Amino acid sequence: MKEYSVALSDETYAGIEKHLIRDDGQEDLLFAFYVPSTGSNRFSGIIKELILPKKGERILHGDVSFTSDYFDRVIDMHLQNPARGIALIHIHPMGEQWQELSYNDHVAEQGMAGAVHALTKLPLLGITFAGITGAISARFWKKKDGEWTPHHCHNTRTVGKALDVSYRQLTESDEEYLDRTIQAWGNTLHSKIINARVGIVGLGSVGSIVAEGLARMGIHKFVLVDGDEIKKVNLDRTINSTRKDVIDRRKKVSVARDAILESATTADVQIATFETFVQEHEAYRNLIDCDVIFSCVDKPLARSIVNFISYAHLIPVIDGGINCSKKDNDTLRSADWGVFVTSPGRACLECIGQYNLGDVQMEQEGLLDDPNYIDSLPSDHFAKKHENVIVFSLALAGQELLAFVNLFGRLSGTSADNYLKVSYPSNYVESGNERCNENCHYLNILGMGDLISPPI
Amino acid sequence: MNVNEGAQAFADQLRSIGIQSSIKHQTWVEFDYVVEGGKFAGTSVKMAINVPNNFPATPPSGINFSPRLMPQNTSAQHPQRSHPCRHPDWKANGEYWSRPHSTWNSEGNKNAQTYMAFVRQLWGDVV
Repeated sequence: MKEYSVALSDETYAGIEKHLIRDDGQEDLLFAFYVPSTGSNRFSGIIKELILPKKGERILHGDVSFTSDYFDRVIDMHLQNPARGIALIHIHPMGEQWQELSYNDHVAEQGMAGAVHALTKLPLLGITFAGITGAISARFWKKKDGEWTPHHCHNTRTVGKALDVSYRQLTESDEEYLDRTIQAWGNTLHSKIINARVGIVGLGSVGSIVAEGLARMGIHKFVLVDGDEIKKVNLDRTINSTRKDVIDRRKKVSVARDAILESATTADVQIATFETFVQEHEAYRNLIDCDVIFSCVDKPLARSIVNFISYAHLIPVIDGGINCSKKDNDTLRSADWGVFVTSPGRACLECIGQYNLGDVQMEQEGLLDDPNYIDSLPSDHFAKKHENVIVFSLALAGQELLAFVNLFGRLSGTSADNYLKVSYPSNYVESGNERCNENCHYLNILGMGDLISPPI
Repeated sequence: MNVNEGAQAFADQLRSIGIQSSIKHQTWVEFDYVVEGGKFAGTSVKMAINVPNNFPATPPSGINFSPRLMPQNTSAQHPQRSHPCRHPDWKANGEYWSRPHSTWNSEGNKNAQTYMAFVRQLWGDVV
């Protein structure tokens, strides 16, 4: 693994914060269980269950330590449900940003790393909570050259209606390129945004514009997934595509990659491209490496897979769609587009109506690629509707990029809505925040990571 | 033969409601079925359901059965809509109803029993 990370829901974060922030300002600690979430290049621990200390199970003396009774209780709980790893979380009351290991913390965590690994077959996860800012820093303990060694996380992610990311090391912006952007929203937000790894599934009319916008905003780590080639019919909407791309039968991801490299405003651009679809294993695994995923697709199977990733692996997804309708006299009646953001506490793409589970299986069986079957469908069926104009794609992509900024924002007045719908030409705008229905499958798999079989 | 996990779960759940089935071609759960309602009430058919690997997260797309009971009509809507059978062994004399379960994700019990209630309703709609 090249990178390590930690993810937790904002609800879990609140539980940690409530326990660790003490009125007397002393240090404190707690244990937790984590679930592995394994991407192609990133191993994450999803904090799933907090094990708060009972009275007498830790000793507060300026520093803090735990008793063997507490650790024994954690072991007993693990034996009852052994597929999880163990995390030890403590606070540095005066900590501000990412906390490096102090000598005492190093000794304490290293001393238990071997026992935890022997029991769980998973590395001990050490977490430090910075008392001043609430930033979380973390490391997994693995054996290297015969010694238990900390493998520091690249970042930690608190996922809810906002995405709060702490990074160990930040790539600095080149202010010559991004001066106006940083002037607009400040360096703190900008640093968080540009250091995220962003997945884009679908590099067509909307995805190509999203990629261009992100590159110019300073984002420089991308995972691009699309199996389609540029065709003549795409040229009226797919930004940066040319007639030559059609003749050369270039893949959409290849065109988008070259465009990002040309437009990027941050150095050290990293782009992983997959000329396949999201249901292919490598593409799927690389998306689990991402901090945010844009879903710029129009079929139910791909949407259901990114929806699964969003909830099982706690990675927010920004999805969009455009629907044009015409009058009988062959003129445009309206164009409606919507942006939908998924994360814990918000409705998933299935519950909000972006796809139907029954259609997912139809696509898996090949029905939605069968011209005879598609011919038989009603004219308003989604599989037959491809009408679009670049101005609608530009509007939708712009709204998706704003939703992306809002995720990181926590700006005053930041919208927590999980959908925004716009109608043209009436300019009717609707926004709101829905939750999943109480029986939604995705609520049951929230943060289950590798414990739940992937839908591919 | 490797059996799809979803198909196995579906077959196990059918057994719990008294329906004995077999799994063919890894994903197809086959069983004898007597139509309970609608125009074909009382008719015996062989039913086959192609079950997704991640059932019950994803439901089947519809039902296949043999023998064919209705004329093929791919342009009509339910209950007249009927497609060529997709079961590998029944193409000559089978029928496929493409009827996605549109409210599956809001069902409290996502299991074969709930799916079969949906199937009963589909047959009952044919009058």
